[in-house]
Amino acid sequence: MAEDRGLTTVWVWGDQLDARLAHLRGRDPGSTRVLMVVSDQKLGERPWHRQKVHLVVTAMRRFADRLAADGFAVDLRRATSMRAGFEAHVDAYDPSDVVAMEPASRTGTRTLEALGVTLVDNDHFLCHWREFATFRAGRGRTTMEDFYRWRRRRPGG
Amino acid sequence: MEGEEPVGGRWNLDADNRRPPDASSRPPLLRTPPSSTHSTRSMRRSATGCLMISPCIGAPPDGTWATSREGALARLERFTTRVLPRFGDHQDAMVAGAWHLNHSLLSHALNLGLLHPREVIEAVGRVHEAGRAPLNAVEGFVRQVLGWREFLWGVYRTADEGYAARNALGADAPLPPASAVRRRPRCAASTTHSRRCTSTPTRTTSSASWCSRTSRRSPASDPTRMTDWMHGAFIDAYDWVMVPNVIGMGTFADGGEVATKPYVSGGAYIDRMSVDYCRPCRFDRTARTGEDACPFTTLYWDFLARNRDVLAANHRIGRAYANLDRLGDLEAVRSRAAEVRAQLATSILVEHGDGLGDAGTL
Repeated sequence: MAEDRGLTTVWVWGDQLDARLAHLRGRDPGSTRVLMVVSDQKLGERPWHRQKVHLVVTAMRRFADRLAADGFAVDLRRATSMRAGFEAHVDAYDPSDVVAMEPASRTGTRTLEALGVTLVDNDHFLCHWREFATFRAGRGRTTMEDFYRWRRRRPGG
Repeated sequence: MEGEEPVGGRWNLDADNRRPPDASSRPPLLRTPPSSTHSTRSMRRSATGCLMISPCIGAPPDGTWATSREGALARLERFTTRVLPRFGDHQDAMVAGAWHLNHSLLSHALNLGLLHPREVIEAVGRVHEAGRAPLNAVEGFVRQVLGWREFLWGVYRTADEGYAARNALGADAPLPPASAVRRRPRCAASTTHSRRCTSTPTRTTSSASWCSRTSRRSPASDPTRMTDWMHGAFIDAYDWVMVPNVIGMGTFADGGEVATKPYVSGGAYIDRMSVDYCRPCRFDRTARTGEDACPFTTLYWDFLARNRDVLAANHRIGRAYANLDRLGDLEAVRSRAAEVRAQLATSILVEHGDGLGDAGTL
C-alpha cells in the first residue's frame, strides 16, 4: 500500500527496549515504523545460556507488542544477520530514512555506520562516552573513584 | 550531595560494605510465571522460529528475569523495599545456600533498557530520604550504577582498538573445566563436602545464568576466551560489559587501566567473604603445600611470585609481596602450584560442572 511506504524507520536493537530513549522519544506512531531483527548470526556466535536467549528475544517481542499497542507499525523479523534483516526491511517498506540509536557496542556501531543508518547518540547511559573522553583527557591515570566523584559533584548528584 | 561534600561526609563507604553475611532472612525472589503468549513453549513455535541454532548451555528459563517493563518495575520495587536496606553490608559476600543474597538482580533489566539508570538511582535516593535504607547501602548501590556501570562503558568505548585482546600478565591457562555449564546442575546438597567456592558459582551460572561479582574473577585464564565465555553465560553480559570487566577487572589484562590491583585471593579471603564455603571443604585454606592445601591459597602465592616484575611496584598489593618474601617454602609452593594447574587442566580437581554444554534446544 502506497501510504505504507516512505515512513521513517527506527531500528531498535535488542538492548534498547525503552521508548524514552533517543531513538523513540517524541516519535509520532503515525509516521514511524519500528524494525527489530532477531539475527541467526547473533544467535550462533557463541554458546549462549538458554535463559539469556529467552530473556532477550522475549523482551524484544513484548516490547514490539507494546509499541504496536501504542500505534506503531512494527516489523519484528528473523534474518540470517542484522544486515540481511535491514536489507529485507528496506526492500519491503522503502523507508524515507532509517534511524537508530548508537549501539552500546563498538562492532554494532560500525555495522550501522557501514549500512548508512542515521545514528543518534546513545542516552541509555548517564555519561556519553565522548563526555567520558573529555573527562579523562589530560588527567593522566583516572580511576573509577575519580570518575564517580566527578559525576556526583554534578547537579543532582 | 550537600554542597561540595557527599551526604554523610564520606565519598566511599566500601569499608562498611565488605562484611560477611549472617544467615538471617533473605527476601524471596520475585518470579514471573511465563504467560501463555510469552512462554518457552510458545517461543519454540513462534514466528521467530527456533532460537537455539548453536549448542546452548544452562537450565531453561524459570521466570527469575524480567522480560517486560512491568516485570522490571516490580523487581525494582522488591529491591528497594526488601533488599536495599541490607545491600551494602553484604555486597561482596558469597553464600552457597543463597545465591542471590542481597544483590539487586537488576542488571539484566538495566542493560536491556527495561529500566533506566536515572530512575533506578532516583528510586534508591527516595528510599534513603524516607529513612528506610542506611547510607552505606544506598551509596554502595549508587556507586555501582552511577560509577562502575558508566565508567566501564566509557573505558570500553574510548579504549584503543586492541584493548579486548590485551594480556598484560601473559595469562594462557585454558578455561577451568567448571566453565562447562550443565543443563541440570547438581543440587546444593551434593556439594556438601567439595569446593563450594567453585561449585556454587558454577551451579548458579547454570541454574540462573548469574553469579556474584566476587565469583567472576579468574586472573589465570586466557582473558579473551574468558570474556567470550562469560558473554555467553551471564544474563547481564554484553560486549561493553564483559570486555572491560574481564580485561580490566577480572584478569588485570590491561595492566591496571581499570582496576587498581588484580583481584586475586587465597582461601582465607574466600572464607572471610563467605558464610559456608570453606567449613566443610576437604582442602585446608591455610595450607600452601601438600595434597590438602587449598588450591586458591597455593595459586595465590604462585600468582604473586610469577608476576613480581609487573606487580611488585603496585602500592595496593605491596604488602602481599612483603608477606611473600617472608615465606620459607616458596619453592615447594611453586611446585605444588604446577601440580594444581596440571590437575585443573585434566579436571582431576573439579568434581562439579564438568559436563559439556549440551546441544539441546531451548
